[in-house]
Amino acid sequence: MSNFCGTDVETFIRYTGLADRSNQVFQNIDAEKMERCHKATEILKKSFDSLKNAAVFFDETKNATKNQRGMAFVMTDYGYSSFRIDNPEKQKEALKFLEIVDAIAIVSEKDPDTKETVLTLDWRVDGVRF
Amino acid sequence: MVSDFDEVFSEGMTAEERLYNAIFGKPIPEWEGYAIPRIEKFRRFQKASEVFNRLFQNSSTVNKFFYKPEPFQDACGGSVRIYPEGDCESLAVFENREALSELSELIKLVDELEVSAEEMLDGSTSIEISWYIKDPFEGKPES
Repeated sequence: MSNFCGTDVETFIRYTGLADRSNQVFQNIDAEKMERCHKATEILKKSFDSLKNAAVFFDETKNATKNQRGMAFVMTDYGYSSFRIDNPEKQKEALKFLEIVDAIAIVSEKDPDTKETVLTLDWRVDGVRF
Repeated sequence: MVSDFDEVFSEGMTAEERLYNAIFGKPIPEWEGYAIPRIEKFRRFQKASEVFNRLFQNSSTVNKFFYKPEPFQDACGGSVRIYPEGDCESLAVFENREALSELSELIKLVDELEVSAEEMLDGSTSIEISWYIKDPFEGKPES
């Protein structure tokens, strides 16, 4: 088992021949992962709802072993984009969000077409790894 | 700077009294009802500063600033500005459970956290992450 540390589930199953029992395992893992993704997206939608020019995206995939990604972004016309956690309710939602996801990245860049400053919050829920 | 708030050990004094003594160089007066909540503000500032330093200690493209409360009645906080590396976008990454826990700890300690992206003079964009701890008597008369 220790030879497979760091290996994804697909590789592990291929090498150990557990394909017959894999479907149920994948379904359970996938359901848990997707629930986390949906919860994370819901929190971001609620938080970014009141912001002008904000949008939340979530890209669904079917594979339980793959990482799932989503993002929320804000942009304005004036070269400045921001979001704020400034009351207990937003603080509670932010803490819940950070409990659900496995990694986040904050990115700022200029949209090449519109030239607007875009602030993006990327998040990731990892697929299963040993 | 954070070491300014190190406690001076003195037998028979509470932790709050020791910290007040360390900051002002005199014993806390009995009637000083404003001191204890402000001491709590300083404690939070000290912890938040430590967490903030740990979160951004390894990055070469950051400038960190701390706003110490001076005078004593002020709000306090810190901020970090992250610049792009080369032609890439500016990035602040929290890619493991430890980093996310530190970020959660910072959010719990402060009253306000803001993340912003701003266009710079050369056309690139930078990220600023700022946090503030309000004075507990902000907007209220002290007399």
